[in-house]
Amino acid sequence: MTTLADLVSVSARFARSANLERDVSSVDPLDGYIVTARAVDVVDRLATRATSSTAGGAWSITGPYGSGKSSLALLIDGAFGEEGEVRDKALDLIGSASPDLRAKILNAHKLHGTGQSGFCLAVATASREPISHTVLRALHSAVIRRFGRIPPRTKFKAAQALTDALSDQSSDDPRRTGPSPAALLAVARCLAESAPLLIVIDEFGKNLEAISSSVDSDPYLLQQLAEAGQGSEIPIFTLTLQHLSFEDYFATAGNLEHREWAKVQGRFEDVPFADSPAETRALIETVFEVDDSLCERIDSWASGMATAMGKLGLEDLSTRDAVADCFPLHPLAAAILPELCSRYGQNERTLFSFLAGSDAAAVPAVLARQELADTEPLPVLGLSEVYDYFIEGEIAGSPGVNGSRWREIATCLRDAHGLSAQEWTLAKSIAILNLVGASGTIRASKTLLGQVAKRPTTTLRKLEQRGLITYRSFADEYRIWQGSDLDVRTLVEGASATLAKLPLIEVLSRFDSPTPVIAARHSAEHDTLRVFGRRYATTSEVVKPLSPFSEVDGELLLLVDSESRCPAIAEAGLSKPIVAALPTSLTALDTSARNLAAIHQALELPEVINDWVVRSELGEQLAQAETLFHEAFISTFDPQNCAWFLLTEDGAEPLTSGRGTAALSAAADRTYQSAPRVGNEMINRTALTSQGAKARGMLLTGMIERASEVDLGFEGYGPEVAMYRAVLERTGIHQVDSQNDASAFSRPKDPSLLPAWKTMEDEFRRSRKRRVNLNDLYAALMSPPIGMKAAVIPVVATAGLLAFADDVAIYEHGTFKPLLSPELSERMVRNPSHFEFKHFANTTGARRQVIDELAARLEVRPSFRQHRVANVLAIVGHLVSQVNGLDNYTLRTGNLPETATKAREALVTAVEPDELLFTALPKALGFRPVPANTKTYTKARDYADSVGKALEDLTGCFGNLLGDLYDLLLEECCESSRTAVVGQAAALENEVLDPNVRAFVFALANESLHNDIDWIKAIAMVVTEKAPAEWTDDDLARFQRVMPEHIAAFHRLVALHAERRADGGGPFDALRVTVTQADGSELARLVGIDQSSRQMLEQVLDDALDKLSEVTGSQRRADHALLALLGERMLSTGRSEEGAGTTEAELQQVEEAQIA
Amino acid sequence: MPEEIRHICGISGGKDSSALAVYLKDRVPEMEYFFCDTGAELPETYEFLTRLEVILAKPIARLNADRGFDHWFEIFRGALPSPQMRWCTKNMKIKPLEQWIGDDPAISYVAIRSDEANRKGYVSTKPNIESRFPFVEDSIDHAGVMRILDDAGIGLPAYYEWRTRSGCYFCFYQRKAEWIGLADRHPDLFERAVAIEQKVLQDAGVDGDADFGKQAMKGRQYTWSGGETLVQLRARRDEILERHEAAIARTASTRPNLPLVDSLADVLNEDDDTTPCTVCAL
Repeated sequence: MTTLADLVSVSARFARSANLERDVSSVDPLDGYIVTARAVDVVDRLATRATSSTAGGAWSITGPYGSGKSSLALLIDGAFGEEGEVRDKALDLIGSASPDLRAKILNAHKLHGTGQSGFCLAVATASREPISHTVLRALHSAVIRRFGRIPPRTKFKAAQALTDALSDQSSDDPRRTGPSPAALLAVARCLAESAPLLIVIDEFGKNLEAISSSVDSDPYLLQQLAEAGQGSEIPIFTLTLQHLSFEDYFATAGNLEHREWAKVQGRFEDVPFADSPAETRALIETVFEVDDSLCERIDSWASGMATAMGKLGLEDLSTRDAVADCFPLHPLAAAILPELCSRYGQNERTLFSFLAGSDAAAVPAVLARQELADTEPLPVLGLSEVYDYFIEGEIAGSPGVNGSRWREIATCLRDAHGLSAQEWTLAKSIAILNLVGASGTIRASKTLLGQVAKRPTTTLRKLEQRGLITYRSFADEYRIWQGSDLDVRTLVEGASATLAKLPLIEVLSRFDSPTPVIAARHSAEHDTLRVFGRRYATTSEVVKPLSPFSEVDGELLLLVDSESRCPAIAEAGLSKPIVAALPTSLTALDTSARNLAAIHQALELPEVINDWVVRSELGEQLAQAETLFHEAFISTFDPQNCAWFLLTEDGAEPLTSGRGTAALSAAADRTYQSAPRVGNEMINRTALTSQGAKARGMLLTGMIERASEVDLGFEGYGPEVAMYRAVLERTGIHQVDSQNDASAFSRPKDPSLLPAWKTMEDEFRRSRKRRVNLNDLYAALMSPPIGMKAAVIPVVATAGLLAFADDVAIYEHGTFKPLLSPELSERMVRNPSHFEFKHFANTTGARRQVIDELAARLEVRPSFRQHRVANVLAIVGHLVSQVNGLDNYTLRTGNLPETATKAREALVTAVEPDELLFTALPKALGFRPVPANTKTYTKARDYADSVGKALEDLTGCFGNLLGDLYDLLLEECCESSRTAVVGQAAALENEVLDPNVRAFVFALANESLHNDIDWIKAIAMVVTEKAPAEWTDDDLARFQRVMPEHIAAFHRLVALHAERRADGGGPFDALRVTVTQADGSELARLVGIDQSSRQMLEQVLDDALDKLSEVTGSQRRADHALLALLGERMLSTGRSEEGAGTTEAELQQVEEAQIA
Repeated sequence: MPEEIRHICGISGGKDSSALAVYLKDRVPEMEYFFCDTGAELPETYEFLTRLEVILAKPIARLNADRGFDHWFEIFRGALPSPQMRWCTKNMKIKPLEQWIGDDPAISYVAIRSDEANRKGYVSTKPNIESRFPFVEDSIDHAGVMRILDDAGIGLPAYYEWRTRSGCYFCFYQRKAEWIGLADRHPDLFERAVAIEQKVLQDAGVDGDADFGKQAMKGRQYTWSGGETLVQLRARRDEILERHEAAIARTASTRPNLPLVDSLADVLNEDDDTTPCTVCAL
């Protein structure tokens, strides 16, 4: 019996992987080696450097496991080694791929004189050890290869260094740290003197792992080796082979180490080493040697297969030769192998162990089992054989990131029983295709599976019925199905059945509403973004108008009930535009929406929620269904596929539809005819950015605080200035009044803003009869035909309120606000609905007369200059501000004339300005109310006088109280001025006093207070423990009662103080010294001098006067000078702030008096 | 020409800052006094400030008199301030102060006493403001503060009879017993606090028909006092007072002859240990 193995042999080279140290200097490992483009690249770099300079170089070759790095090292070793069989073999291999490279290597040998001896080859495979150990082993092997043993020093200068290094390395003495880098460098240099030194370290990653996991690692040796080769004209070539870049080995190390290694890697030229799938496939083709007797059959098989592959879209495999090269592999198997190996295995190593390994599932064993009959179709190894090796053989032990999918599929097929051969083949093929990837041409599609098995349809259906595979119609792909008790199709069909009874609108209501759209042309032409919200609707609906405060400028109804008419609209009035789109066909939308909703519904079933297998399957179906729905939505509501109407009270007006949102633009054109043009995108919008809100806040504050200044006092080019220019300046709302040269707010000149302004004026006028909520004004401005953007309104409304400040009153939460202040404006912007306004202008007849009289009596002027006469608000504003300035005493006391008390009551409780002025206040002051519709009011002047008098009583009340208190105190003290009292009290300051009087005495003695009023306030406060401004009448009474007691106690203390002094030290004089200044203010001191010290003091004074007389020339002048200077000093210490200006002339009087 | 350095002294309405103001009256004649007015202080505080102004013979600058709590409550559309969202301190204390000072070089005098030198007051992080601690420098302790106030004849703010700290009448750092104190002494203010709370609760959908889910619950406080509404708190009046009295008795037995001010502080501190807002309380 003939098997395939008899006619197809596998190259021995691929049977095992290479080991650098073992295979060096041997021909066998090179047998069958394929020099790939990558290998040529590396060898070429080496050869080019060796021929172009006398220095060396350093390369780090980085490639994945099993990509043939070690084999490459063997090739390099052979090519640059000594003359002989191995070098010839290596050069032949290289020459077959690149003759130029072969010549270059020979040239290198010639240049360096190594034609016979070859380069010094220091080759080692690293293990987890310090770099120095590996390098030493490599250098040692080079010495042995060259000299047979370590030569004496006479022949090899570095012999001693090498011996020392070897003994260091083998020593158990912990104090020895292993071979020193210096010694190793010396050996390397010495070797390189005789011939170029080529250091090759395979598995260099092991060294790096050792370093990254130990503390005392030092990358410096490596750097030195690399530098030794590069700069110093010494031909040292270093080649390291590893599967990650240096840095990746130190991913978990600290920053410092990381940087250190990045630095070392910088010394090396990094060469990535990995073959592309196409290159890998090229390798596969070289593995098999096929007996010539088969060629004919292969050709016929290949030509049929190539056509099939072409149909599948696999261009690479669509030629007969390409397919034939794959034999004995099925071209599909060859196509997926590179991807499969790199994803789940160790690249070429896995690939070649499959192709040439000894495993029972590997190719050689399969070939040996495969019988070959002359008549039957040529047997080939297909996807199912690949599956057997990779999954059943569990070759890919650690499939890594893709592991879960791998296990899922493996488990699934392992648990399947009783399948026929064809079923197995198909199931396994599907499995392996699923693993490689679902997208692209190589997927388990119906057509592709037709190449795997003959007439697979029935078998596939059977597999599907068994629940082993599932077909995804949307992707034309079969999937291995992990199995679930639930049948996805039934679930979705069940959901569809329930949905079928629902009208389409209800199905659509389950999805998110379509996003709003912009009427593009209209927005661009009018500098204002018009956004239309979209929703599904039916003709039976009675459409409600949009709220003026809605965030959108209009609504687009997408009609979904196949009726060819528009819905009716309820009381449209000045509502924002509502457009209806009637699609010509709803079929696609209906089908896709119901399908999508069915999947959604299925996903929400309780049994599905707990079944992740079904859930993930439905999840993928959902994504597909969403795409389909989206496409259907777009085509259904395409402008050309719909009829468009603007809904009005009078019925539906057809709109011309062009491209895009032309119909919406047409609707906006018709609706927003009086829209203002605001040339600032930052403010002309519905909601501001935080930056914009800040700028608008600054603008509003400027409007309120600096209305009369040019440009509101703004300078520069900030956003608030840009807003000012766009909304207020260019429109003419804020401009310089030519009459009085001050800026003010008034009706705009810009015709586009005029309708908005007039609307506002209408609203103000409307508020003559009753208060109007500010939101009504907002609504009027936001509604068509104006449609002002919400963020602009506060600016325009504030301009209006300021322009009509004397006519329009503002109320917050129902309370009259006499002034539009920045903080009020902040609240107004935030909550317009909390505010109301009312118009008070154009008062005539009797009321006009009263206002004029009041304005004259109270000296009230209108707040804005364009108003020639004051009106209700100006008068009331004045009254309210006066009342607000009153202290609590005045607000509470009964010590006021009766009229003032009643006027106060009226002012404090007033809510409505006109009510106050024309009814409450006249009543309080004993006048008749002022009627609105009479011509004259005879008592107008008397009334105004009375108001003025009452106001004066109120504002003067507190001052009068303090004056009274002051007089009362002086009277009680029997003194005529504050100074005298302060002087008496100051004398007690350093005495030990009872805490009860202490504060009182301190208050009396307080000189730092600048005037009588402050002084008496402090005293009154100390007496009553309450500031006079907070007094009630009871506090006043208490003061009147308690103060005399305090003064009496104070007088007793003064007397006691004097007596005590006298008792203590014999005769005692008390002197009162008063210094009076030019302005009449005084400083007084009581000075006590007892007899015992008097004599001594007088002696000192006499001496001083004697000395002074010598200077001044006369006794009398000396007396005066002393007095003047002393007085000046007293003044300067007593009144430090005035002392500097005091002169002798100001010292008018010095009084001396003895106190009894 | 070097810029004029401003000297500023903040007054909270409490005893320490008031004593410091009096203490520095003659020492730093160019002193500017300020008070961050929330518009919601206790009447006792306003009354006390007027007293202090009389003694200082200078007006105390009222910062943000125009934008008090009511203003910000409108602006924040009914979110109560809370320890997690203390917009009150930020908008009514820190911002107005920093705005008032501007970029002028200034020395700020802080009323930390020598016996509490470790306490943290509001020390501005602005580079142009230098902080000084005169009580710490001059070793003035609690007794010293009381003496300064007594000598000046202004005494203590009246709220010390039932509350330990100055600040808004509805301060959320208030202890339960202090809320009862407010209800007893200022029923009108208590009712206003209840009204504010009720408005917030209603806006948030409690007892109302607003969509509760739409109100961002994160970091928002819906009641002034933890865990209950003011109405519920007032219903527990007797229980709270009982506990409070018991605590006073306990303190009295462990530390005899303590002035009421201090024993109250001790007791209320026992009640909870939340760190009060130093900006307001100092």
